[in-house]
Amino acid sequence: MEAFLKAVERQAYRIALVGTGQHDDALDIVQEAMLRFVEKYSSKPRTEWKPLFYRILYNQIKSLQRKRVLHNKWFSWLLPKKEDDNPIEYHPGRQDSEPEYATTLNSAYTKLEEALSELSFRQQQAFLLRGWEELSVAETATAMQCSEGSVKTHYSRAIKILRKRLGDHWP
Amino acid sequence: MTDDSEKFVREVRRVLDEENQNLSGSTLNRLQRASNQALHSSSNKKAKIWGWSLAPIAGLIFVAILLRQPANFNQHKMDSITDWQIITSEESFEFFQEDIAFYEWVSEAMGNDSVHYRRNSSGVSSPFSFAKSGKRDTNRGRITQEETTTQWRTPRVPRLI
Repeated sequence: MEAFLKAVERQAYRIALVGTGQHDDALDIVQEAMLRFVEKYSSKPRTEWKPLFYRILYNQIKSLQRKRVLHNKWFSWLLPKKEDDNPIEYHPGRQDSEPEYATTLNSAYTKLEEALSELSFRQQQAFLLRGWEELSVAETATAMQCSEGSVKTHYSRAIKILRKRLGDHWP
Repeated sequence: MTDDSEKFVREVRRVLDEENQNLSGSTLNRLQRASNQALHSSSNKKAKIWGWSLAPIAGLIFVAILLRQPANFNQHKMDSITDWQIITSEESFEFFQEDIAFYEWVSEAMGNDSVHYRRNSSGVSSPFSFAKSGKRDTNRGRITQEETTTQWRTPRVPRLI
């Protein structure tokens, strides 16, 4: 179990960061996902660990996003309105100042991250799990708790949107 | 998936992997702490589960021991109460041992029915436990454990309470 957590921790952090846009939130989510995974699924077969872990991770990301939406809904009227109010300001984008982000400004990763954040939650899930983590269609379906057909659909749409967004000259 | 798409996905994978290699030390430390905490929490939970599962078993064993108390437990209790009364009595201990034979003789001589005695396990008859009638030992002056004896009215038996 220790080796497994060591193997997935970086990817998990990156996925959480893309999903939340906040460094601290991403770390909290990874910690919570690890705790719950070890508590609930440590007795499962080793081959099922990866999709189950990512299922928990994405559930945590989704839960946080819902809380943010609810929070904004209830308390947005408290915030002073600006004339040039930019709706993107309220989107969970990058707001931290981690050193690694400062050095990757205008870099390939930054553009990729912006493009990924514009995908829908399901498309983002399908692309990162299938494309980056190289899970099989069945494993991705387990993690996303949907059918294999849905996985293929979300994945192909995600690729299409990203290629269009990043252009032919990326990276 | 087309070749172009596959090539694109490979590039995305490469960029993400490179970024992962450049994580800061503080981030890596926190990730390490998170996994240690998850593993530690799991082992603590298992220990707690073991401990809690043993508690009802220990309780059942305790109840079983209580239920299997020997039949003479009450008798021992009575004996201890009786012994305590004897010890705290103003009369000397020898009174209870030596004079019993005398009082039995008196009792026979007087022919009175009174209190029945039963000899307890320590060899001292208790005036406060009433026995069923039993057989008298034919050996006069010797009182067996099974023997019961009638008591006299006089001389007066001192109150031990």
